[in-house]
This record gives sequence, C-alpha cells and structure tokens, in this order.
Amino acid sequence: MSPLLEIQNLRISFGPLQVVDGVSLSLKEGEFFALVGESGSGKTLTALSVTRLLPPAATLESGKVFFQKTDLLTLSEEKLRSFRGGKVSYVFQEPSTSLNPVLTIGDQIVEAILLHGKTDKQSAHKEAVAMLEKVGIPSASTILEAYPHQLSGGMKQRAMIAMALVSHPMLLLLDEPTTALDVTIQAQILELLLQMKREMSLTIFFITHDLGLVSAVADRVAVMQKGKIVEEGNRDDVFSHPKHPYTEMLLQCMEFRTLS
Amino acid sequence: MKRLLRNKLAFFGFLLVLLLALVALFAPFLSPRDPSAIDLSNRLIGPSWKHPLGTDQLGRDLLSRMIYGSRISLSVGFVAVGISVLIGIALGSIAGYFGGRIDTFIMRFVDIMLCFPTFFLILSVIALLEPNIFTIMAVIGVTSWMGVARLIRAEILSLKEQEFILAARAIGAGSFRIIVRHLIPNAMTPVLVSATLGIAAAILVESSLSFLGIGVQPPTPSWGNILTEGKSVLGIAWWLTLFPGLAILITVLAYNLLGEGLRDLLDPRLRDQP
Repeated sequence: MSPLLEIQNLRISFGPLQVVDGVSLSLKEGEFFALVGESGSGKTLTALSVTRLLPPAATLESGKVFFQKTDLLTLSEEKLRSFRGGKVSYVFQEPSTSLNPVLTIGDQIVEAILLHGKTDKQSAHKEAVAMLEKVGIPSASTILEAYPHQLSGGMKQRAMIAMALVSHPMLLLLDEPTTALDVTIQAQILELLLQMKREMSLTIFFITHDLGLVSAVADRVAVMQKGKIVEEGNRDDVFSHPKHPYTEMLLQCMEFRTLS
Repeated sequence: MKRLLRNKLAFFGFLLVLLLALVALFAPFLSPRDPSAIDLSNRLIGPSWKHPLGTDQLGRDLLSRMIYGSRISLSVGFVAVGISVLIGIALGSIAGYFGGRIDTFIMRFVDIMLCFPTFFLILSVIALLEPNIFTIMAVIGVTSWMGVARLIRAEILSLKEQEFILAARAIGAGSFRIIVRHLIPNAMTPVLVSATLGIAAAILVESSLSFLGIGVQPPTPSWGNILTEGKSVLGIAWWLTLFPGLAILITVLAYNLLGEGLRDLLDPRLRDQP
C-alpha cells in the first residue's frame, strides 16, 4: 500500500544552522506514528514543513513532501490552504496560546468548519456542538460561548482537537499536544486521540520528547537527534532492541523516571 | 468597568463625555431658542434669566448656539477620528503583517507625513478646498492617522508571532482573514486609547480652524466661530468669549481624562497600582 504521507530528504536551515538534515519518513494510512526527540532536534519544523507553515526565518533547502502523491511543497499557496485544516490538521503544544483570546471557542470552531465545508453558519454551529461532545466536553453548547481564558488547559486542548477534527482530516499532526498539561490530563488526551483515531480512521503523526508517553500507543516510532532520524522502527523493536545509543539514552531516562 | 469607577478622574471624564454626547444628540429639545433667530432689539445682552449665557451681536441666544455648536464639535471629533483610525488600521496592519518592502514603504510614508507641521498642512488643504464641515472632517482624518498606524503595526509585529496565528494558518485561513479576524481585534486596545485622545485633538483643531475663519462657516454655529465673533467685542461682551472657550476646554479635558483613564485601565503593567 502506498504511504499516506511521505517526506523525502527534507533539509531546513536557520541561516547557517542546519536544523533538519535530510529527514525521510513515511506514514502508512491509519497508523499512529511518533517522532521523538529532544527540543531543538528539528521535529517541530519537520511537522510544520508538511503544509509549509515554517517560520519566515527558516529556509526550506530541499526535500519533497507527498500527501497521497500530491507534492505539497510545490503546490500553490491557494491550493495548499485547502489541505491545511482540510485533509491535514494540526494541534499545537500550548493550548492557551493556540486559541485566539478575543474570539469564543464557538467562533473559532465554526470558522474552521466554514473554511472547508460548504455549509451555512447554523449547521456549522450544530457540527461544532456535536464535535465538542465527541471529544468529551460536557455542556458543549455553553462552552461554545466561552472565551479561551475561561477554560482549563485540558478543556482547551480538547477544544483544539475538536477544531482540528471538524474537517474530518485524514492526517492529524500533533506537536507535543500534552506537554503543557498535567499527567492525568495527558493520559485522558491520549485516550481521546486513540478513540478518535478509531472512530474517524485517522492517521496520527505525534511529536513528543517523552518516549514514555508514546510507548503504549504508537505503532511506529522514529527518534530524531540534531536534525537527523537516528532510529526508526516498530514500537516493540525500538523499545526492546534500541540500535542507536541516543535511543538507549532516552529509554534510560524513561526507566529512571519510572523508578523514582 | 468596575476599575473605571475606581479611577475618579477617568470616571468624571466619562460622565462629561456622556453628558456632552446627550446634549449634542438632543440639541433641538434642550436649546431654549432657535440658534439662528436674529433679535436686533436684544443685542449683546449679558447673562440673564431670559438668555442664560447672553446674546451676540445679532441678538442670537448664546446658549442655544453653543448647544448646536456641540453637535459640530463632537461630530467633527468622531468622524475625523473614525477616518484616521480606519486609514491607520489598514496601513498599519498591512505594514506589520507583510513586513519587508511593503513595511518599509508604508512606514517611510508615515515618516514623511509626520514631517509636515499638521496644522499648516490642514490650512493649505482647506485653502484649496471649500471649507465646510465635511472637508474639515476629511482633512483632519487624513492628516492624523500616522500614530494609529504605528501603534497597530507595533502590536501586529508581536502578535503575528503568537501560536494562535500559526494555528489559524494551520486551519487554512488566508492572509486577509488572519489580519481582519485574528490580528486586528487583538491589537485594538492601544488604538481605543489613542482614538479617545484623538477626538480631543480633533475638536481642538476644528475650533482653531473655525476661529481662524476657515473652518465651519457662519451662520452654522461652532464653538470656534462663536469665539471669533466674540473676539471683536471682548471689551464689552466677555460672555461671548468665555463660554465657548470654557466649552472647548471642558470637552477636550473630558476626552483627555477618559483617554488617560482608559490607558491606565487597559495597560496590565499599570493595573492594580495605588
């Protein structure tokens, strides 16, 4: 089966600094793929480059990103916009800064729906309520009227996930979606992701620095260090027979944490 | 709103602004006489029960003329600031969002506009155009947007790096939508303050222009042109100069108090300080 997302030899630099150095990845449809690495290893930029959301300071030197055989990096901005939040959705690290503080949750979810679906405001509103309920937000219609600062971190992240899912994407990229949350909420969010993945047949691209977090849920894991993929494989292989010393180190950190 | 009440001066300014707005709105009901009714037998009468603020050289009731004059001052203030805020927001947000050459071009244009002494620029433009209330509004508006443009640009420069802008792009929003829906509403706070202070400035400019005889033309009453008419008879009819002068002073003061109060209120760094 041909991959849903294929990244080939991606190279990104910040001025003289090579931050992503020849990364190649491929994601099969329906899998939970985790990209693990410490901060600054280039994992976020790799994910952002999928729909060309790189910050202006970063230069995309070379590489190809195929989404179902469409090369996203050469697509016109106009066509690319239909992928962003359409077939490809993102959830970012910090739920409190990823939501616009002056718009209500409802405004923002409805906006995401209207940008891609051909529906009117009223049915978009209904869809938003349905999606919020689906991601486990109680009394969804009240939350719709709330502003981001009135919600807890976990709630905001659920709302972000709802916003990412309203367009029924095929690929969901999550950039450290649980890092800013409590451990108990982290588990809930992961649980929710797995449930959504089943219900909506999503492919998940999960970025984290926490190997422990994905040890239970990922199908495949890639480890990234200093802009390069140093190890990639099925979860069980990587966890039981790490080939690269850096992976071993990360695993040791994890064990250390569970011991203490 | 609670904090606005706590700041006594700002609240006082707010009350005055509200009062002035009501006076202007209900001018026909509040003014005791027709502001342009000439009564030559009652020329230059000092303040009395019949004419609380006296009459002018043509026997017109000063109180009524000032009540109608407040309409001119306030509408010039609001419309001129409205124009300047619109221009400022449009240019400032484009400059801040796109950056690069567009930014350089717009901001150098702002610098050039700031080089002109505004009042003389207004004077020369008015000299070419027919002086009426609409040209005055427009001219004040198009010569005072630079501050707003700078404010908006500065706000947007920092706002556009925020994660929620990345998130908006990630759901497929285009540049126009991001600017109008996500950036500008977040950048409005300093503009609100500057607009309030700008209204005071615009009222002052209109009064000055009318005083110089190139603003609102008589017989339409404006505080500025009442002052001019009073100037020639200052020795015998002090009320014709004092009252419109006071009205301008109080109005400008009210807007400045409100504006400064709003600034303190909306600036988180100054919040909750004694």
